[in-house]
Amino acid sequence: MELKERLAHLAKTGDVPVFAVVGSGHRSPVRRLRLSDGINLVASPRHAAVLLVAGTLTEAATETVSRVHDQMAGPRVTVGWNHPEPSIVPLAENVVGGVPDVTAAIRQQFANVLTGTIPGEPPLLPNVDPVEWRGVGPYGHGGAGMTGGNPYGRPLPLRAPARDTLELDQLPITIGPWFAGFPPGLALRVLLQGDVVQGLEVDSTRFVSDGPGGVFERALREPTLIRDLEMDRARHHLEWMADALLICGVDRLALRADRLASTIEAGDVQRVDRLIASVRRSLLRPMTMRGVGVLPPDVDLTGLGPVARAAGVAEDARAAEDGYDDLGFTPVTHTAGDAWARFSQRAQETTQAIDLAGRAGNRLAFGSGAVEAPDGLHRAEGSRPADRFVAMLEVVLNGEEWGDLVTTIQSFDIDMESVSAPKDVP
Amino acid sequence: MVGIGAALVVFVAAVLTVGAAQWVWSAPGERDLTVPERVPFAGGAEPEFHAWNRFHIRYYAMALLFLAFDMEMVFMYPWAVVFVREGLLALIEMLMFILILVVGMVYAWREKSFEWS
Repeated sequence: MELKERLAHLAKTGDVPVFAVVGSGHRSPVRRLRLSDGINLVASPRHAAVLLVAGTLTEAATETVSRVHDQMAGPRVTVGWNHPEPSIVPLAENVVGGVPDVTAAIRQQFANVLTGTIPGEPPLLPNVDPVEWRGVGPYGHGGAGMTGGNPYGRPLPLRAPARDTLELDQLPITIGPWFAGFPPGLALRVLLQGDVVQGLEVDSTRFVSDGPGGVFERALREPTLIRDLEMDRARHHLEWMADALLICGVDRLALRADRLASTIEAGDVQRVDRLIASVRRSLLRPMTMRGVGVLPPDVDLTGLGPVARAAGVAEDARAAEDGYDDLGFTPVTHTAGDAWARFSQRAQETTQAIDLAGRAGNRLAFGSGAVEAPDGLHRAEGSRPADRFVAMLEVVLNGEEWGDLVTTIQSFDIDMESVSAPKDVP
Repeated sequence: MVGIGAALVVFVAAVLTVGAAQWVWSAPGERDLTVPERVPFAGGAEPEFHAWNRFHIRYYAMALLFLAFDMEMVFMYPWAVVFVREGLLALIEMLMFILILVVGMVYAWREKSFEWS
């Protein structure tokens, strides 16, 4: 056996580095994929060999997904997961099924491309410079500005207002829609100076299609078992906590939160309490979140669920339901209103949800056009909490440091599937 | 002659190392990257501006203070020798010197120089 073949066979036994583009209905399944043996979900396509296109995306996503595809180091392969035909990018395989099916397919395609059974995919976008880098001289040198032209076809950044008598630059850059620190589908155009955000605009393009809707969508139309609602809430919050811990770099605790989300049962409060105690002991989390993402006092918090309750607004649609009243439900609140308060709020609501689910029996709740979902109050008509969070990003995040911006956006728990049109919301 | 022999050995070793490095570099069959492959990852969006930009290094005030106190430490090494000879007088002089620096630091603190912004 040749050396190259031996190396390929050795490489295919390792974890497969996968970059996931997450479409509608697949945030939770992709999170569960993190628990699969042999799959390593990475935050950048530069580290990936397999591109996973999960769920439904809009036509507008085609260019961005193609760019992500081209940014993977070769040999690369693309796998679809419940992605509707015709697919927005060419797929080596489109898996219709659950987590075990897609895990097997990813591993198989990775082995195929490593051993040369199938060739690595060629780039999708044309090999054209936006503008040729050429100055006025005979060798492309010289001309106006520092570089004598537009390096790699791009102009140099804008000039910022003088600060401490220094004339510095502002770099306008669009981040997203597939940046791992943001909710899938959210793209922001930011004006950066170093890591300080000096301007911000939400990209109004829709990249992710409407979500299929879960148990909370059903509860808008018909009375639903409290047990189902609360278990779904607990799972949602645990998965959100795993994301928050991943952003913070505490992968070990994130894995525990993911495991808990997939195995938790009604009434099993102790396991959640142990996880939360570990997070508090880690200190890292409280240190990176305290005082971050505090909302201005004039922001209307009505109907914003855990974000509002973390800022001391004791408002919860569950309190008005007879089923919850029987169980002695009272809303949990915090006062600080920062990202750490939101983490603590969701942690406590998770414990509360599991406790309620354990005692709920066959009690029903909601069904009259409004429901308290994990991200806030959902109504059959009108804007969703995600719409309002997206609308307030520009006000809340201007002037923040980049790291705090990512933490704040994560702390809101924005679901881009339920955002109607990111820019045109009240 | 020993010198020439040693130089020859170093020369041959260098040529072999460069040759081996070039072979390792070219062995995987490197091809030129296309323009979209070269673009840095920003979540799927196309960068409009070049990332070469001048920004504010916000720790410069702290860096200046660090330099001031660093130089003071250097000054304390020869002072330690003088202290053995002069005793209390040298100690008082050094305390006065440090006090002047501390006044500077308190002023910087009051002016909010240590705030990360």
